Amino acid sequence: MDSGDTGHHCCKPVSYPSCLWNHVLLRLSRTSSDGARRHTKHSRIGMSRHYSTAIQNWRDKDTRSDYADFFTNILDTARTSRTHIPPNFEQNLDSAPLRTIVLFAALLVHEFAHAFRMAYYSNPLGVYQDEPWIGDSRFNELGHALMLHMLSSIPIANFFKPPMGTPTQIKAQVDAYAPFGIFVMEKWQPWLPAGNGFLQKGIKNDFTSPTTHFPVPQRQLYDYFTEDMWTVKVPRFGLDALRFVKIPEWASHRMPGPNPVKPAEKSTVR
Amino acid sequence: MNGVGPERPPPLPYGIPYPPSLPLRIQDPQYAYGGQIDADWAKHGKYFGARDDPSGARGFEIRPLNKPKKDQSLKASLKRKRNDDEDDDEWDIQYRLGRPSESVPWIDLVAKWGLQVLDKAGFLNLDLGPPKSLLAPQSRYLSKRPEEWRRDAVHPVFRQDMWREVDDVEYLNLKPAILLASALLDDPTTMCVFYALATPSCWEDFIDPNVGLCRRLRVPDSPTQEQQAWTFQKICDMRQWTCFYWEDPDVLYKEGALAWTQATQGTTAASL
Repeated sequence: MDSGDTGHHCCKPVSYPSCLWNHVLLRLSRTSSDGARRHTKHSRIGMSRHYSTAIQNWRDKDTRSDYADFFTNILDTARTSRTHIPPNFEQNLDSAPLRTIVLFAALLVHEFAHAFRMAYYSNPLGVYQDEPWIGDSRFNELGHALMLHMLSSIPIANFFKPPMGTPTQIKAQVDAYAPFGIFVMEKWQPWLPAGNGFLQKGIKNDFTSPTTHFPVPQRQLYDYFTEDMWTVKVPRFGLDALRFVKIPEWASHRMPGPNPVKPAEKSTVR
Repeated sequence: MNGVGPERPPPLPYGIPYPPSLPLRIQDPQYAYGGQIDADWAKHGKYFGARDDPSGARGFEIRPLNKPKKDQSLKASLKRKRNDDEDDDEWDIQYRLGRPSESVPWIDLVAKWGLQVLDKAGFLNLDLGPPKSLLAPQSRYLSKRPEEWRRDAVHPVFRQDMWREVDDVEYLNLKPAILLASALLDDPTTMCVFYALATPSCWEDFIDPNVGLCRRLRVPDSPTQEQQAWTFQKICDMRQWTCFYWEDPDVLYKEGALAWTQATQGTTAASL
């Protein structure tokens, strides 16, 4: 490995055991940079058009059925059995795009942080990882660290693993439409060995603690788009008014399994 | 009025009800006469159903879909008859717990509670009608920005001229998200991180036994007005250093990413 290219391989996919799937193996975003180092770098930020399409379809939902159709079709794609579908899942869609909007906003700030880092945070000889650590996270992913700093956790659309043979855009559409709600988490890539940008420090605490997800109340997202939030609450409480609420009673905890070096093995959900 | 009956626990945020309380150990669903096992709610949720708690004290109550087989001996059934407890937990199930499809893996939260319980509790869609003020977000720093940037709540780095090949309609679709992103980025709490990123005296070295020489940001708690103004300008200057565009979905799929930021050495943002 080129020593000037540390950031690139630190962000390369780590090979995951397939049982880890439920532990959010998706990488929220990637940073890439080429080997040559300068103090400042231009960048470009590639976003997914599905977010715009989702909102467009929602805006047109009285004249076209594409928005509701997505909700119907995704249930089929996930092979959801009728007995498990909530009533009005495909009709009660007035507030559904709020999830798309909030996820896109978070993603935008996340990616912008990478671009800003490329422009201002110098690592001339490539002796460091591309990104600095913040706080006591094990992985140096600046966008996630910023999200923790601002909103106390990282928001992601609830998802399923598309069956084999499903068109490739399905996962990206679920990420954008968030038809099954949003969850937040603090540990984005739990239980990975040291190296590849993961610190040795803190590994014991990571490997012995559960991976916890919290569902986000739709009402919280609804309140983001009220006058009261921006004229009263944010001026008074700052970003605390926007921090994701984490209701412990509703959390899912994936408990580490018995093997101390491979906590994902035989891990269980509480 | 109260004083008797179940004690109400304190309300949860945003009117969310309490979840069903799930036992740590359950009757082994695989074996009719099996013993108790540790529950794994990603796997075992599907064996349970819920209804609204009739007492109203908690949100839901649960029961196994199939009751454990009862002891069929004559003695046991006579005893049940005497105690009149034949059908005490046969209530109708309103909500199914567990993963919504058998053959497809779901994220833990959904595999545990199921979509119906999450929906009923207020984590999916609401009946509140369309959102009232999609264009309401505005940052705390808006009034402190230099005059030239104050008129539009959109942050200078998210203005439409920063979006390459993104048409007016697409930009309009994203306007609520762009305003929210602007309010998040243009906040003194957020600016602390950007200040530290661009300020070498906030960079602190440490050594990790595995990774080696590392750097951590010391993020200031309360930046001065001058530091905030300096940071706002540094962020604004990014208008020359970056831009946004729609990435090819196949590229993002290959990268396994929702979005990505690439360094483009030696090119100017304007020429992209």
